Amino acid sequence: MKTKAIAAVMIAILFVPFLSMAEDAILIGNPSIKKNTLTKKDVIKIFLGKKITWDDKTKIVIVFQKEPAVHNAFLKKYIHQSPSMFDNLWNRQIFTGKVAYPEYVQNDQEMIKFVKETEGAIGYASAGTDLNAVKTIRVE
Amino acid sequence: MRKALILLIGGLATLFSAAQSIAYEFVGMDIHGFVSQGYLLSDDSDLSIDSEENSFAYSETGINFGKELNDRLRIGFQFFAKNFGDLSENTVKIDWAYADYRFHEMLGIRFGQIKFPHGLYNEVRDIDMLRTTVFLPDSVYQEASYDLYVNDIFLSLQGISSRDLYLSLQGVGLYGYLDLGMIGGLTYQAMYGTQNLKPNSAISTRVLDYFELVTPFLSIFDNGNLVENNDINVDHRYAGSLFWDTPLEGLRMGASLDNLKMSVSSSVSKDVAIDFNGVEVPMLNEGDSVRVNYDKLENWVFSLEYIWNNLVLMAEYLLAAKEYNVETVAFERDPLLDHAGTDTTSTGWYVGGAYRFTNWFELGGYYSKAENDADKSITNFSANFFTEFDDICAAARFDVNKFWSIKLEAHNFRGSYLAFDSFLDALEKRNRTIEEEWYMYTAKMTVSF
Repeated sequence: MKTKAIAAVMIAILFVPFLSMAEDAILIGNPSIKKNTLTKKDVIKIFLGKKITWDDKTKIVIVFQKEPAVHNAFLKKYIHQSPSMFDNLWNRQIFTGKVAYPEYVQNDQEMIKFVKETEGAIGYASAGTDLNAVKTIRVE
Repeated sequence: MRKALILLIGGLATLFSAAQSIAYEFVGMDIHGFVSQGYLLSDDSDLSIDSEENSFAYSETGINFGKELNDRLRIGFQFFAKNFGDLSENTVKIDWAYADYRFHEMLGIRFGQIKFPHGLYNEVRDIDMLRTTVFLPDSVYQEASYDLYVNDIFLSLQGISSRDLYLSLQGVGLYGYLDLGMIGGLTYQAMYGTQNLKPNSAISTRVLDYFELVTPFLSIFDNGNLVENNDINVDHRYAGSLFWDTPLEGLRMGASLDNLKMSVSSSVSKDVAIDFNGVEVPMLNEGDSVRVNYDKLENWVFSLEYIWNNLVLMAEYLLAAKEYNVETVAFERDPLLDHAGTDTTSTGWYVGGAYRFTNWFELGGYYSKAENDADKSITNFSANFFTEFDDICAAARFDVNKFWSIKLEAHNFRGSYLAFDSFLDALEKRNRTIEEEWYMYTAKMTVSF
């Protein structure tokens, strides 16, 4: 009985991805960005490095966050990929010289500062953070 | 040189992992690298990747540097070394090195030494940490263990492996992304140039060993190469791909094409005769010139990949066409030996997938099948000695952390190597057999940054 219980727990752990408690992630952009909303497909194209300019030809600067809970929440909500697969897709480009490594910041505070100060920048922060300094982007 | 490269990568990885930095820079350049070490175990000592039943002679080392010179202009290069038994020379080479200028989202130009597309994964075929399995399906990504079976006999005799043909080209390429809105997007590449191919004598030696094993008609071979002084002249190499990110989120599909035209001139290094029912029939004399004109070595690959959360599914189909002819003074001496030319096709396909159960554990695998159209060349000496080849692969990947992965993999290979029943009969008379089913196991560790 005890052995079966232990086995059940181990199997449950094996089949539960994204074990870290996910927060909700909100897309934020530099105030210079003219768009207030993006489609789901546009968000994926941007954060996979395919779409590289805004409609006014301003360069899109994407920035990611190292805080696992926020990053995983962003991937789950907007990209629908696991962190490893997302990294693989970027590394396919990086290890063939096609793109530079994207920008990374440590946490919400650094994310907001970077997005506020960088023209064309788009990133994400956890819901509940003070986002007055940047533009909140809705996804439709 | 390779040891120095490994030490450099190891030192940088240690330094940067201690700093817990993801993006690594040095004098303004982005730096990334990897070191992989594998172990191979097979129950077929004659026809596995190496002549040994087990081997540590499997490793890959790479380091790349890149720099954005301005918003549109980028330059980068990668050094790479591969050890794979005797099929790779384990020397440090430039894997890619090019400049890239992006005019617009829809158009960019690259020039230099560029990895070219062949299916979904050719450009990253040597980057172990980017996939679940150790080996890519050989039906589409011809690498090593089936080299003798899917590669051309003449290419092998002249020391050119299948892998050599798929590395990189030197030339210029255009690329871009076309945003189609709700329909998705198209990613394209097109490139043209030449290819730097260098013969590897170990490959030709292996195919001679294979001849001796499976074709008792050709019995007069000593150790060493049959041909020497191989001079490779590449006329052109071009390649391209078009991939569609479909409206169904996570699904992309597309096609790639690559084409090579070249000729390889050699001289025969020893007299060659056929042992025909106890009578020695001369074929080639030492010093005879041999020139093989590969008018077309062309591959189409049709691909499909679906990624959703922790699941990835993929399927690809290869259609390969080959046209070549052989010129040698031996045909003038004996018109019966004349090899007018060869026009063959072969196909390969696989279906596979992987699922990540936790942030440290992933399972994956594929079923792969390669088939050769031997009918057209049934009477030609240059017939490839296989008709079909199956591979069932199962793999497990363990990520110790973001930088370090460990893989375990098993393969069940099944195939018939010989197009002609008479060869099998002759083998039986020599008390030799070839296993038509065998297993290979591999373990591999990779550290990357």
